[in-house]
Amino acid sequence: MGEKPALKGWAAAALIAGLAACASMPPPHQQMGAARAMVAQAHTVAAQDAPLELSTAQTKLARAEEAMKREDYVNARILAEQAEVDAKYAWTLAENARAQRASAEVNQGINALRQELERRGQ
Amino acid sequence: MRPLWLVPVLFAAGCALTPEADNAVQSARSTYQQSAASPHVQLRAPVELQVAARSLAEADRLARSGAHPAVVAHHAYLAEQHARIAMASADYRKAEAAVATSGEQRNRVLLEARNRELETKKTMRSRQAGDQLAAEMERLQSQVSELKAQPTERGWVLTLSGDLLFDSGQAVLKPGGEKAVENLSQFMRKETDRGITIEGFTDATGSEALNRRLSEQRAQAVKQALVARGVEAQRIEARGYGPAFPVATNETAVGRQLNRRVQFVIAPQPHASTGGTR
Repeated sequence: MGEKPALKGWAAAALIAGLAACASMPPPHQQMGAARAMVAQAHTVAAQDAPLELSTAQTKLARAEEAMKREDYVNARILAEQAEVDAKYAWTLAENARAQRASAEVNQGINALRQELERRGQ
Repeated sequence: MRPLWLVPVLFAAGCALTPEADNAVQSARSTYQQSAASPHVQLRAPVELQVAARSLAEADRLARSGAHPAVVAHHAYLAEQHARIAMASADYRKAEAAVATSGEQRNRVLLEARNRELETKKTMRSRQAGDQLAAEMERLQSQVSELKAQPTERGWVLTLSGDLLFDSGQAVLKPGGEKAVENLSQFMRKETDRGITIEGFTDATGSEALNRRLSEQRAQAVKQALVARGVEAQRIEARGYGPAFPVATNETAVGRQLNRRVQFVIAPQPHASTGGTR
């Protein structure tokens, strides 16, 4: 069991270093701004086509705002970064749903045209 | 005694990566690999794919360097979301491209239909024209019992016996020949965009030069008869070949009779100089 104390000490050192890093972390204003902007952008298109993903992003942003108030910048940063990526995912899903609808509509139009022409050609 | 294999595992995981963080990294890697393996995503969302790759590499680096499991899991989560964004981006860009080129596609459909229509019309027209001509030839043939009509590469070839049209050694149409020419002129007046070649032939009896001149004069006589019946002279070409191109032996009387002939070649294509009215 000779290695046990050594391991313990190593883990403790890492934890302390981590906490030290956390304590010195500045408020994540940039990440908060990016998350708010992305959630707002997604909100306009994703409410209908990606409501779950949008709601996840909104919840995380709200929790990030709370963490900011508590000056818990570690969690604020993590939540803000996740809110931003979740909002971007929601936006992309909504964009995809919209594009698929447009594409289906156009294809339907082209198929109708083709059928009409074939019918007329006979 | 603690199993020895735990030592390197613990060491590699730094501050003992939790199963949750480890699962997050595995899940992110699997989603990323799925997106990166798709040529569709490579083509349409290379930037998003790169962001996902960087996030995953960061999660791996943090896991190796012993960062807090929550931080590792966080970066793994970001990587997985970026991979999903890459796939959804590729999908919506593909659909958008399809919409953007729909005008072209529409035009292509219209063009294809137009070409099909033209092709059908052309085929029908040429079939109709072919059928019509064949029917005319049959009619002509029935009117002149001696007439043989054959479709060839040069066009329809009508063969009339020289003995029916002319007396021996003469280049003046006989009454029997007049009737055949009349029928032919009716056909030519109807088929206003077709040219005709009149070819005179003789048997091999006598001087070749004389025979050639005689065949030429006979072809000319038929041409003049057609012109007199209102067929434009520029649509008619008259040639005399004498004994050349025999269709039968010149050794027998029957063979010689077959060789004495006038052929009418009716061009398969509309006559270029007169233009088409159909």
